[in-house]
Amino acid sequence: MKEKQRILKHPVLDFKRGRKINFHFERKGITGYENESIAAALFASGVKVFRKSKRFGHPEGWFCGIGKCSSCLMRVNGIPSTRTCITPAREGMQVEPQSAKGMLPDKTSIQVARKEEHVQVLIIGSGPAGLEAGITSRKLGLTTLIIDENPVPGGQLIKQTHKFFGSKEEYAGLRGFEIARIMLAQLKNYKGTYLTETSAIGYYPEEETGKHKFLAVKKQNDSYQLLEINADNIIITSGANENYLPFPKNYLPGIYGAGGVQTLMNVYGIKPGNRALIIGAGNVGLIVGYQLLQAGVEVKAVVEAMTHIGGYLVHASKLARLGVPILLRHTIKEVKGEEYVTGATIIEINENMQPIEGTEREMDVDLILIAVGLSASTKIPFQAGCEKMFVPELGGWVPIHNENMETTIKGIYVAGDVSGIAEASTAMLEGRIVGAAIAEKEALNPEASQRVKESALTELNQLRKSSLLKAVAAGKIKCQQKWNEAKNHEQ
Amino acid sequence: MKKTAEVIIIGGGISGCTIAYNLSKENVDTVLVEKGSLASGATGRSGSMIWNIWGTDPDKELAKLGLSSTRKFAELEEELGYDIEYTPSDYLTIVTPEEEEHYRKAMAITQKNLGLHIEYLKPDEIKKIAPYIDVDNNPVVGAYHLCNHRINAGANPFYTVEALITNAKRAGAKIYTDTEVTDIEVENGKIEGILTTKGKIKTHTVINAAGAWSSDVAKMAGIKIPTMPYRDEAFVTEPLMHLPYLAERGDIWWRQEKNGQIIAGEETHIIRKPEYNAAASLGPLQRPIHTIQQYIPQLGNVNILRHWGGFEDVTPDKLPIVGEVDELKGLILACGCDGFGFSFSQAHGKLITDLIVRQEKSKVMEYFNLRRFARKYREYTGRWYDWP
Amino acid sequence: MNTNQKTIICFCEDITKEEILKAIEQGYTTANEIKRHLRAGMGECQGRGCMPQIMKLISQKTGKPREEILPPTDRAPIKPVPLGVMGKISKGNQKGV
Repeated sequence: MKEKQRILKHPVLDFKRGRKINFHFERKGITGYENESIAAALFASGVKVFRKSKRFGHPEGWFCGIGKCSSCLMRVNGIPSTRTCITPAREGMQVEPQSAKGMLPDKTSIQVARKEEHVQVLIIGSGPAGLEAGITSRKLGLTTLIIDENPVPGGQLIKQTHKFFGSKEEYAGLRGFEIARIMLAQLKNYKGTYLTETSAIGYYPEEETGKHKFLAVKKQNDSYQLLEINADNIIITSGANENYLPFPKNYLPGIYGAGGVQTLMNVYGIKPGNRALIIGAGNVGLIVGYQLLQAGVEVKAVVEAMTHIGGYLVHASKLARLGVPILLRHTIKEVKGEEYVTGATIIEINENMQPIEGTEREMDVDLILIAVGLSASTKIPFQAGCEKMFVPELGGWVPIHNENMETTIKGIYVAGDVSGIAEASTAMLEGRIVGAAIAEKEALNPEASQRVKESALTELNQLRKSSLLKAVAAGKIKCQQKWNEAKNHEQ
Repeated sequence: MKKTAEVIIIGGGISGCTIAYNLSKENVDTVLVEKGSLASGATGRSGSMIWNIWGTDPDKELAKLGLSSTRKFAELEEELGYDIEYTPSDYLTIVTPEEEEHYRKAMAITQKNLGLHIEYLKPDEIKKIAPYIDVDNNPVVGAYHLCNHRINAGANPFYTVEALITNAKRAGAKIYTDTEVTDIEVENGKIEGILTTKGKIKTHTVINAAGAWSSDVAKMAGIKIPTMPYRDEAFVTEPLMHLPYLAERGDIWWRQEKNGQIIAGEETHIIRKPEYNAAASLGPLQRPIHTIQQYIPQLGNVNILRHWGGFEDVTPDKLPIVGEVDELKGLILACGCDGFGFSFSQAHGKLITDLIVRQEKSKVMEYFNLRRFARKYREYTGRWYDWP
Repeated sequence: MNTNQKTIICFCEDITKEEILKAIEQGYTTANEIKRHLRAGMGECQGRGCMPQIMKLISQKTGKPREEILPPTDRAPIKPVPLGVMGKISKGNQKGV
């Protein structure tokens, strides 16, 4: 049993691992910890290849770590295509890798209980936007149900070990995982339901009344609960997806998304590799670079295709001080390795983004981290039929929404990254605005609600004056104009 | 855009594309217009089943039409030089005690009408060849099996349409997508041309293969046809290992695609109002899900990846309308196919090409002519559904 | 080029960048068309990773602005759900989208 991948000492985080548990992978014994996902436990035990791809038989391994991609699908206790990165490991589990097509499940039964819910507000997602929307709407007296797909609540906050900027109200000076803890504690002060491991299935409005109805499914060990949620209002805070980067051999284990790496090292305390190369010098790349150093991973370099560093200078200087070179106008050319990454070649590029031959440099790395931006995770609002528009300042296609964060479907709201890529503090403010706007509409405590909303709006506009959020502000205005156009058109 | 054409086909689904391929292969100057993209209507949303009708006597002609079409499908990949993911499916038609009598008769008729060999399997024999089919916990007295004919199948609808159109283009056909027909010009009882959103094309022959929109298209030429758009739904699962036999039950249709995904739905008999709403509501999927789970319980634990809605075009007797309109020579119909458009398409292609190129009016085509609705067709086809 | 030097765009269905570029050249210039033609985005991750890249490639290759390249249709279920769970809804009154 190799334990060397586990992070035992960390300057910021203290990993309280649960009870040790044993399960089987390809009939070999694996030791993991309670509350750890199957994929994380496997990774910690040195299993890097999770599956072979369908057509080419490429090895694939850990990737997104939050149940969005398909790299970690395995057969668990006789059930094919299980997302092992969000399935907690349990004593005695039988885990087997899955070839291209799943075999028929062993189990001939499935336990499903159906439950109907009636709430004023359904919140999908519990990152900064979802939690804040929950706190605000509960504080103002709305009945609220929050669902989140991950076993651990808090969205991406729980992976952040750096101190936040912004204003005190949005927890400036505290670290992300601390903020998540405080917000969750606050949420518990008010009545309401909170469900983890609960996935959104889809929006199915009622035939006659047109009332909102949303289906979700909660997984509990080996059984399921199907939730039919009748909600007067729906707040979608589904966050973002990481952008992939196309380059030769980009499928190889050892090439991971920044979020996936954060999950491994900051949630589970597992070292994602030993020597890293980071692609992308935006905030995410820089912050995760520093977090890698904290986890005891050597960071060989950060490469960036642009001529400037995209992220905050504070984050860049922190890395530079620790001797990590940030190479502008560079990109990845090639990856070495058969089963997993054993090295990489980087190359300089010219102003037309074309590689300059002869500038190749070999990097001795076993981890390549992709941090080339995010796109709004819009499946839920788009499936519901919310109208969309392309806003480059917001990271691509987003649901059209107004200042109250309402989409083109009455009573369906968005907040946080799903409404346009920005950052955690503004996501919280958007969450607060939605919560207050709904309370105002439902005529609960209208004056207090309006006050909360107005002050959050003022603060949001203030934050968006900063150099990095100026573009977001412009994008949001485009969105609001389009919303007004759409509404005028309706009338 | 072309100014004239010998034949214009309206509709780029499986029917229209097959006819375009067959006509252009025989050097007919053919144009196909489609208001969206190819296979964007019922074709791309269907289970693209290539299947046969289990017969009752009044359906004899339908069964023959189906069989000739499915036989042609089996040769299509070779003929077109294209992988259309043609995948044979083998079904065991499960029989419960109450249905024993009904099925025995139906199978005998099918055997007689189509000349196929059908075997009867007892529960133990079912278990032997398909151990995953649950015969112990279900009231199963046996199953019928269409042996070794390999005529039930499926294909990828997009690849099939692509293959047909690539070949049609090669033979000279012109295909205009994103082109909506706005009017059909009729003068002195003769078709003179069509107007589209992209311009006018002169012709004396129009083939209406517009599926759910076929009655709207016919109306442009002043002809009333009793087809109606009808919403239906389907779902698809994650890929799974190949299951050599699937259980067939009642009106539930399903098949395993070449890549292992299972696609399923229900043949509709429930009468709802005609509509162009392609919403997916899950309600109509409950019966297929339950049936599949009932006979292959393990599938209850297999994930559904997507579900969606689409529309079929149905006629009052649920039989297709094929052939020339008596009142307006030059208007040829290939529509009203219900859930069988994909299955029948190859037969339609041949029948209509024979009509246009060789002026042949086969008996089977005449049987499905529009004129049956002017007669006492309830007695004629023995089928009638009270649509709203 | 060595076969394992492939650049993968759709990881679920193993679709390469070369295949997508070729399809665009052949005239499949919308996300929905690429999806149907190559099966890209139709696998277990439901197109989450590849679709933004595919839309970007279409824009680059055709020269059409990004806002003209529409995302493909998003269908339920938003996450893969076992058949047995989907078969448990209360029947009737849904309209769907």
